[in-house]
Amino acid sequence: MNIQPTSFRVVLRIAWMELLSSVRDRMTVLYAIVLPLVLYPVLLFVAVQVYLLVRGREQHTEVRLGVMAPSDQVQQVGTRGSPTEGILQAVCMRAPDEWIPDSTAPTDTATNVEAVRIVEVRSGAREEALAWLSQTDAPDAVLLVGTAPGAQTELVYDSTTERGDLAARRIQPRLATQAENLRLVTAQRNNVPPARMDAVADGGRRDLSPNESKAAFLMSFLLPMLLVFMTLSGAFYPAIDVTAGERERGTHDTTLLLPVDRATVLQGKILAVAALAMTATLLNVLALGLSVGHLLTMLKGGGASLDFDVPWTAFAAITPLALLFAFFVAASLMVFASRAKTFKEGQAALGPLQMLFYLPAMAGAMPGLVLTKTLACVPVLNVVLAFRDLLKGRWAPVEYSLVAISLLVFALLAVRGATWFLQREQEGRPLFAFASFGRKSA
Amino acid sequence: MSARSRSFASLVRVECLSIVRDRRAMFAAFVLPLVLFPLLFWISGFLERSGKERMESMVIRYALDVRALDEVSRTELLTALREEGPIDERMVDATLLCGFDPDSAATPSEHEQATALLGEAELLVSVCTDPSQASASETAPRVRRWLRSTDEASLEADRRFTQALDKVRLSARTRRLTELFGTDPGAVVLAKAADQADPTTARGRKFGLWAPLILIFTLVGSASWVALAAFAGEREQGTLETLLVQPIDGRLIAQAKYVVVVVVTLASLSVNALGFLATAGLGLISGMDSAGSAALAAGRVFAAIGVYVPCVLLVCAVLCLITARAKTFREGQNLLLPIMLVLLLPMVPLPGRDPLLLWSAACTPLAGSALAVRETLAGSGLSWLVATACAAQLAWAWLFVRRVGRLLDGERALAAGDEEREAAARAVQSRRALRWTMGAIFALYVVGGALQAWNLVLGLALTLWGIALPLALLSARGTARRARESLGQTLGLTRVAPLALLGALLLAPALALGAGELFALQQRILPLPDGYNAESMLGALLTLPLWAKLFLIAITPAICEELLFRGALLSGLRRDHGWWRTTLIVAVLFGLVHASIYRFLPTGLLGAILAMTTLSSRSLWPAIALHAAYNGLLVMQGEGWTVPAASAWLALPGLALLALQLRLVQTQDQEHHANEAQQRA
Amino acid sequence: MEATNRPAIEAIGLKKSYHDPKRGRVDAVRGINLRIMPGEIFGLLGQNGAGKTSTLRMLATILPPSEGTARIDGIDVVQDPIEVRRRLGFLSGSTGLYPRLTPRETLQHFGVLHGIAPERLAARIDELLGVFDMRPWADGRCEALSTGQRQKVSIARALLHDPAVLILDEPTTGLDVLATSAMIEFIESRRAAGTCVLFSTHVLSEAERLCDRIGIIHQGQVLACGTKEELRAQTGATWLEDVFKRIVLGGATA
Repeated sequence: MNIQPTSFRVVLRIAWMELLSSVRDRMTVLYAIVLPLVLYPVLLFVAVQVYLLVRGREQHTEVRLGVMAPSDQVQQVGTRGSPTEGILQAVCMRAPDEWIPDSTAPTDTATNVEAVRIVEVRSGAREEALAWLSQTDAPDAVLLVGTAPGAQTELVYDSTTERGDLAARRIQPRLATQAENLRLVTAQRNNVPPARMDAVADGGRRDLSPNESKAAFLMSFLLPMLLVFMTLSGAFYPAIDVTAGERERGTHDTTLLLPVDRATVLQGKILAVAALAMTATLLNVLALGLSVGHLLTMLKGGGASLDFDVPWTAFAAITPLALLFAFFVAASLMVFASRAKTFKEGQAALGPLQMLFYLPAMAGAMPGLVLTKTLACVPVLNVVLAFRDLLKGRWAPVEYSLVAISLLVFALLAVRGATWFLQREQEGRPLFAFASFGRKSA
Repeated sequence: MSARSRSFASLVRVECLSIVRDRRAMFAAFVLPLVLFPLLFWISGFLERSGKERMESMVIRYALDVRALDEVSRTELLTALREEGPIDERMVDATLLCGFDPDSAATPSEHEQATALLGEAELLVSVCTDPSQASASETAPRVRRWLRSTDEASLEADRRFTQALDKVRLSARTRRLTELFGTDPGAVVLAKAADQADPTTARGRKFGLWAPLILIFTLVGSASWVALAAFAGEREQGTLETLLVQPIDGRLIAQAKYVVVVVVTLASLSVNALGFLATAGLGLISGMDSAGSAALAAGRVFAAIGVYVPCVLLVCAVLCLITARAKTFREGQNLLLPIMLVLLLPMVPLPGRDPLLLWSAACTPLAGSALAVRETLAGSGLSWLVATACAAQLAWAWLFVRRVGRLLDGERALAAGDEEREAAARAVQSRRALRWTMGAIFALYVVGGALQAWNLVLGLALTLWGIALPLALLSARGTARRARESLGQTLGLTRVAPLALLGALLLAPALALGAGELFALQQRILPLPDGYNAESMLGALLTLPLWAKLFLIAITPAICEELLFRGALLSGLRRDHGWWRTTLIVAVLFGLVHASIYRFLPTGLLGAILAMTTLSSRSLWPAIALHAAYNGLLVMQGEGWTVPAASAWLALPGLALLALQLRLVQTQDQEHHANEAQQRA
Repeated sequence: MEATNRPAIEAIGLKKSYHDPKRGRVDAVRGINLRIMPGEIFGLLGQNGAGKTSTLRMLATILPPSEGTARIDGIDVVQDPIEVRRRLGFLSGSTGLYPRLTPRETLQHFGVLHGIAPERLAARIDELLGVFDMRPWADGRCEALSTGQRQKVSIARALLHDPAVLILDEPTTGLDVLATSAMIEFIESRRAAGTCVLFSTHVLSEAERLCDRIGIIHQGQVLACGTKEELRAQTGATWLEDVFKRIVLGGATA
C-alpha cells in the first residue's frame, strides 16, 4: 500500500463525499451524534431522580418491630426503670409512653421520618421468635430480650426480605449508639473520664490526592469501557452504511467507475468512518465531562461539601489515544464490512466482531490489571488500561507510546487487510455466499 | 387434518426451515451462548482472583509514628498489621502534624508536611495526644491517617490498617471496661444480629436483581432477528407478493410467522439458560458451589423462564408488529434501538416492597414479568402476586397478539399506499415543533441547570429569558412561515376575547388550592427525602423582595414558558393532531422540563389545563394570565397569605366562560367555512 | 353455455388512488374497463407509471380497488378473494424464492397452501419437474440456482394448481436473451392449454408476437384496446411503435 501525495488528496475527497452522505443517514446521526450527547445527562438525571425516590420512600417507611421477652418479664417490658426501657427508647427514638403498642394510635408517616414502631409484645424464647417471623402478619424484625442481666439481646430478622434488611439497618446503629451512651453514663457515675475507656481514638483520615484526580479515579472504573462502547457504536452503522449500504443502494458501482484505484476508494471510506467514530468519541468525552461537571456543580450548589473537580487535564490526556482508537476501530470494522453485499450481511459479519471488542473492554474494567509493556501491545485491552491509568494520573510514557504505536500498527494492518480482501473479490473469489435474490445475479 | 391446518403447518415448516438452514444465525443464537457463558465467567473469575491475590500479597509501606500509644497497644497494632499482609514499616517523627486541627479542613501547609512525611509509603499514620486537654490521662490518643485515594495500593494500605486498628481498639476497650467496671455496660443493649436469611434465597434475590435485564436483552436480541427474517426478510426476498396471492387468509400467514418467532425465541432463551447453568455447574460462578444449590438453581431458573413466557409472547408480538412495517432489513433494524430502550426500563428493580408498588407493578406490562422472575428466583414463585402478574401479562400479550393477524394486509405490505409514510409526511409540522421543544428541554436542563447552580436568581432569569424565549420564537418562526401567517398569529398573541381572559383568571384560585392538595397527596405516595423540601431548593429566591419574586417566579415563567409550550409547541402540534393528543404531549413535555419527578404530576396537570385554555380560546393570553395568576398566588401563599377556600368556586364560572368562548369560536369557524364554500360554488 | 361466454377477466370502472408522501394524492388507475375471454392472450402495454402494476395487482386481489369491480371467472375479487386466488396464477418481475428451500420444497409448500390434496400434489410436482426439466437440480437450494432455473421454479409454482387465468406483471424485465425467449415460448404454450393470459409489458416486440389483443394504458386509463389490426386501422400506422405513440400522444379514443 503506497500512499502517494496526489492519491491522498483523492482519498480525502472520497472521505468527504462519504461523510456527507453518511451524515444524512438517520442511524448515523443518532448513534454518532445524538446518543453520545444525550445519553449521559439523561442517565445522570434518571439516576438522581431514582435515588431521590428510593430514599424518600425508604425514609418514610415505618419499620414494624415485635418484642419478645420471657414470660415473667413481659409485663415489665418498656416500663420505666426496666432494663428494656433504654433499649426500646433508643430503637424508637420516642418517649416511653409513646411507643407502647396501641393499635388505635394513628401513625403519621408523613412527618415521621425513619420511624420504628413496636407492634406487639409477646412472651417466648428464640423458637417462638422465629415462628413469629414466619406468620402472616409478621413484624419486620423481632427483638428478643434476654432473661438474666447480661444475657444477650438478639435482633431476629431475615435479610433477604427488604423490610427485614431495612429493620436491621435502622435498628442496629441505634442500639450501638445506646450502648455507647450507657458506657458513658456508667463512666460518669463512677467518675471515670470517658476517654479512659479507649486505648486509642480514631482521628479520621485525610486524602492527599488533588481534587481533580479524585473524580478521575472514580471515573477510571467505568469511563474506559463506556468510551470503547460508544466509539464502537459510533463506527458500527457508518461502516456498514458506507460499504454494504452503498451496494444495496446501487451507488457502489458508480464510485468504482471513477478513474481511481479501488484501494484508494477503500481508504477514503475508512477515513470517513474513522472521522465519524472520532466525532462520536469526542462528543462522548465532552458530554460525560459536562454532565459530571453539571452534577458536581449542582451538588456543590446544594450545599454539600464535595471535594471533586472535573478532571479536564485527564480528559485532555486521553483524547489523543481515544482518537487513535477510533481510527483503529474504523479500520477493523471496515475489513469485514467491505465484503458485505447487503446490510443484513454486513450486520451478520460485524455483530460477532463487536464481541471481540466488548470482551477485552469489560476485562479491562476489572481491578487488578495494570498496563504493562506486554499488555500494551494487545489491541483494545491496551486502550482500556491506558485510559484507566491516564485517568488515575499514572505517568508511564513508555507504555502509553507503546499503546499508541500498536494501535497505529494494527490500524494500518487492518487497512492493508481490507485492501487485500478487496483484491480477492476482484479476482472473483467469494468469501460470503449470501447472494441477493433479484433477477440480476452477480 | 383440514386444508387450513395443513396450510398453517406448511407455513410454519417453511419458516423454520429457512431459519434453521441459516447456519450463521444458528451458530450465533445457539452455539455461541453455550461457549461464551463459561468463557466469560471463567475469565472474569480468573481476573478477579488474580487481582485479589495481587492485592493481598502486595508489600505495603507504612510511615508510622506510634510513640504516643502505650506499650501493649503498640505491639498489638503492629502484630495485627503484620497479620493482614506483608508490610514494610518505617518509623517517622510526625509531631508537627499533631499541631493541626483534625476537625477542620486541611490547610496547604498540613498537606505539604504530610506529603513530605508520607514520601514513598502508602499510608502515613500518626498518633497524637490532644494537647488541649488538661491531663494526658483524660484523653485517649488519636490516630490520624494520610493517604492517596487515587492510588490502589494506598487504599489497600488504609483498608488493612483500618482492620488492624479496629481489632486493637476492640480488644483494648474490652480490657479497660472489664478493668474499670467489671463488665461492659453497653453489652446488655447490643443486639446480636440473628439473620434468618436462607442462603439460596439470598443468592436468588441477588441474582434476581439483574436477571430480568439479561433476559430482556437476550429476548430482544433473539426475537428481533427472527422477526426481521420472517417479516422484513420476506419483503426483501420478494416472496411476500407470492404469499399474498395464495388462497389462504392473510391472518394465517402472520400467525404462522408469529408462532415461529415465539418458538425460536423460547429455544434461544433456553439455550442461554442452559449455558448459564452449565457455567454454574462447572463451578465458575462464585457463590454457586455445591451441587445441591446448583440443582435448586436450575429448577428456579427454568421456573423463572416459564414465568417469563407471557413477556416473551408480548415482546415477540411487539417486534413482529414493528418489523412488519419495515420495507427492508435495515429499516427494521432502525426501529429496534428505541424499542430496546423502552423495553429495558420496566425491568429495572423496584425500590422497596410496599404493596402499592408491588401490585401496580404486577399489572404493568413487562414490569410484572420482571417481578414474577425475581420472586421465582428468590423462591416465592408460588404466590398470589406471581399468579396475578402472570395473568396480567398474558392479558397484555393478548392485546398485542390479536393485532398480529392484521399485519400482512396487502395494501400496507407493498410499497404503494403506505399509510405510515403518508401520515409521517403530513405530520412534518408537529415533528419539527417536537424536535425544537426536545432540544429546548435539553438546553434548559443542561445550560439552565448550570446557570442556576452558579447563581440561582440570575440563572433563572437568564434561563427563561435567554434560552426559553429565543428558542420559542425560532421554533414558531418556522411554523409561521410554513403556514404563511405572522409570528404573532402562530404564537397565539392575537386579540383575545375578554370572556376568555376572565374565564382563565377565575380558574387561578382553584388551581392554587388544588396544587396544595395534590402535593400533599403526592407526599403520601412519593415522599420527598429529608432535606429536599422546597425551602432548601429555592434558597436564594426566598430572600428577594416581593416585587422581584413576583416578577421572577410569576411573570417570567408565565411569558417565557407559555410562549415555548403553549405557543410554539402547541401551534406546531395542532396542525397535525387532535385536541387530546396535543394536550397530552404538551402536558408531558411541560412536566418533563421541570426536571424533577416530584413536580412532574403537578406541572403536567397545569400544562394540560393551560393547553386546553389556549386551544379553546385560540389565543395565548388567557394561558399567560392564568399561569401568572397561579404562580403569583403560590408566591403569596409563601409570604403567608392564605387563599380563601371559597374562592375555589370561582372556577365554575371560569369554566363556563371558557366553554362559552369555545362555542363562539366554533360558531365563527362554521360560518367561515360556510362562506368559503359559498364563494367557491 | 354461459360459461363459454363469460369473460375470464372482467374489470368495470376500476380505480385506485393512494397517497404518496412526496406527491400527495396519486390516482394510479382512473377507470379501467377490460373484458378478456378464456384462452385469450391479452397484453397491457404502457410506460412506467402508467398504472399497469396497480391494475394487475387489483385483479390478482393483492390490492383492493378504490372504486369499481373486477371479476375473475365470474367471481368478484373483493367479495371472495380466496376463491379468485384458487383460479389465478400470478407471476411478477420481482417475485423471489425462499433462498434456503429447494425447488421441490417450494412447490410442495405452495401446493399445500393451494389446498391440493397430498396424493395429487406429489404427482403434480413430479409432472411439473418433468415438464420443465428441473429434476437434476430440484433438490438443491434455491439460492444456488441460476436466473433461468429460478424462473422455471417460479413458473412451475404459478402453474401448480392448473389455473384458468394467468396474470404476469412484466415477466421478462431483467432477463437475458435466452430466459426471455423461454418466457415467450411459455406464454405461447398457454394458448394451446386454453389458459387465459394477461400480461403487462413495455416491450413492443413481445406484444406484437404474443398477443391476441392489446390494451394500451396511459395515465391510469385504457386509451385503446383491440387486435393489432384494429389498432393499426384506428391509428393508420404500421409499426406498433407508431401506433403506440399516436395513441398515447394523440389523445384518447376507445
